[in-house]
Amino acid sequence: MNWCELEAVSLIERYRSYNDAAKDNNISVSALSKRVANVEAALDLKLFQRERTKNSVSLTTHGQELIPLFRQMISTHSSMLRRAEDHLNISSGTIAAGVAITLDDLGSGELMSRFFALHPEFHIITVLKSQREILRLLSEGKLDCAFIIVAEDTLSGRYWERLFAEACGDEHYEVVELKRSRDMWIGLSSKDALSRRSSVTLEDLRYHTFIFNRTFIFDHSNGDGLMLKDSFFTDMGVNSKDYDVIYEDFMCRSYIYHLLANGAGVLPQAFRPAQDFPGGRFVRLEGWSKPHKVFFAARKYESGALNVFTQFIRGSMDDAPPEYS
Amino acid sequence: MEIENYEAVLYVCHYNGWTSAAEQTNQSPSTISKRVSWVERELGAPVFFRHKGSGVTLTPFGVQMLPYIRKIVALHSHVHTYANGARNENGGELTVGYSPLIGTVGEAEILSRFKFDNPTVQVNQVIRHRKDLLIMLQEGKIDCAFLFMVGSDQPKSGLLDVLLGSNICYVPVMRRNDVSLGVSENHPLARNSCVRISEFYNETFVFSDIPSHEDINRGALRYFFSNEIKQDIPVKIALMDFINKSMVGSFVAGGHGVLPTSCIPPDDLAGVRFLRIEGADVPSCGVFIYPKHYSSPAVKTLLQYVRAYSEERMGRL
Repeated sequence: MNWCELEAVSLIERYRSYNDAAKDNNISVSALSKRVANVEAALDLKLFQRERTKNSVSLTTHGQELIPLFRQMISTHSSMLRRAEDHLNISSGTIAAGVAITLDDLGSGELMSRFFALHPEFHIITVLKSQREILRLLSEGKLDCAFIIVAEDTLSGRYWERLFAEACGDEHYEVVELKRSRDMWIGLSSKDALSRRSSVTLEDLRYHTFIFNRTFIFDHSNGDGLMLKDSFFTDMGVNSKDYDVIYEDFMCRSYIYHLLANGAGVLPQAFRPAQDFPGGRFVRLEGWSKPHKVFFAARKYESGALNVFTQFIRGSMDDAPPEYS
Repeated sequence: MEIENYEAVLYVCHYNGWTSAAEQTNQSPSTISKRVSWVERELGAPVFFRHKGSGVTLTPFGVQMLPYIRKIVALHSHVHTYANGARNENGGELTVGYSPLIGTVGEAEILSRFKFDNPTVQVNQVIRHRKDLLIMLQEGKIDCAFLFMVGSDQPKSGLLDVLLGSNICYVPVMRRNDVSLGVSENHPLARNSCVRISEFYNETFVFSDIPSHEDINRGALRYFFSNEIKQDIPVKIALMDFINKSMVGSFVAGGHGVLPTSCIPPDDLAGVRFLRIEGADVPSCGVFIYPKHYSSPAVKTLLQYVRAYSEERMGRL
């Protein structure tokens, strides 16, 4: 067994699909399946079983039992390498921070820039990836810390809460809550008459096209047999068939804002940005009350830079603890 | 096999040398050396000082890396323990450690009850001294262990907490304050139900020769003979290797010495009778220990037997 084989197992566990995992991680399906097969051969046990639908796989009971151990091994290995680098003074001033791709304003940019202004001696590497990847990398110790958005009390929220707890639920992580919101905002084009209202209902938005973050929506079930795809509408108690939906890559903010301004769609946001976007504005959605929270999670190291960063973030929250507006 | 390379580092530490590590693990010295070099290359600095002569010393860097290496090796062992158990449908294996004792802390009874109900689980037994058991548990070489402690080193007394560290859980299985004295059947006092230590000042007292824990052992002696030490009364002591139970048993049965024990006296030592020592107050306890983060299905099952035994003997805690 070697590390890249174990990492392949961890990757497949997260994606539950060889195709998706390969596509998102610049590796071929055959290399991935070979690595997983090597681990299965070494143990003489199957970790995954094929599902009937869509090329997907699910965990066997052996997989459920062993994959948490693999994650712990990978995580310990990363901590060890990190510690070794610190000791040898290779990259002691570097912090690898993961930020989930989202248009929601997580506050990470502001905090990181203030920290950088205070501590120019430290080097922050930002890793922008889907939240699913960020959580995996954090739990494997490839990232030192991450900014994560978690919905509570919703179908998709339960999925994220589970991943979040798996990734950083134990004593090896320090978690700071940064923001909370019970609001949902809808970004609308100013060409749309609804944008002049102070609030809208889902009924008003019927037959509008909703733009969702591609990396937050999965076709595979979240364990309870629920698809996360339509969870926004299911949570609001409306029929998703009445609404058109497109899934976009949220890497490029201005592309999405242009879509909105042109009236190509509307954008739901739990944490709207401080300013409206050119050609449109955010309007409150009535009837939404589910909480969203933004967390900062950091691995606990005896390393200097990350500790200073975590202290800084904790300190900024002490002055203004997160509240619901 | 990358991950097995880390094991070589632990072998060199544990057997205190390259050659002995190679001999004890049936590998060639060059394999051991290659594996350690692989780890050192990965980490970027030497873990051991290379000096002439036999012993080895960890570098300060090595000292820092060792806990991580130990944890990786332990997790890797857990994976294999699970896989071995899952593959053979008989219910797997259970490797239990305990210290060489003449008496028992209940391990024999607990294990036999477990085996009676789970006949297909293969139970392996490792008898080592306490320090070795703790290291083996941390490295995943054994699944669980029974420990015995005399005197001040009881749970919650500091010393044990340090020994156990935070990644090991324990369940108490025995607690006693009195001490029994094993004497030959032919001893004039053997018919008494209760005796005093002073009646045996002519005899040789037999204690376990625990090689790695001299201080603890001396402490236990001091505990046992506190009055005698205060009054400068000389006592004869023989330290014997308790793994050789029949030797110790015959020694006592033959009238060559007497055997104080503060664990549960054995009932299978021919020619030896155990008498309660009047006024002796030596706190002692036995605990079952297992890793906090991972237990194989067999250990989880055994734990139920341990808990049931513990409640039965000690009441709810």
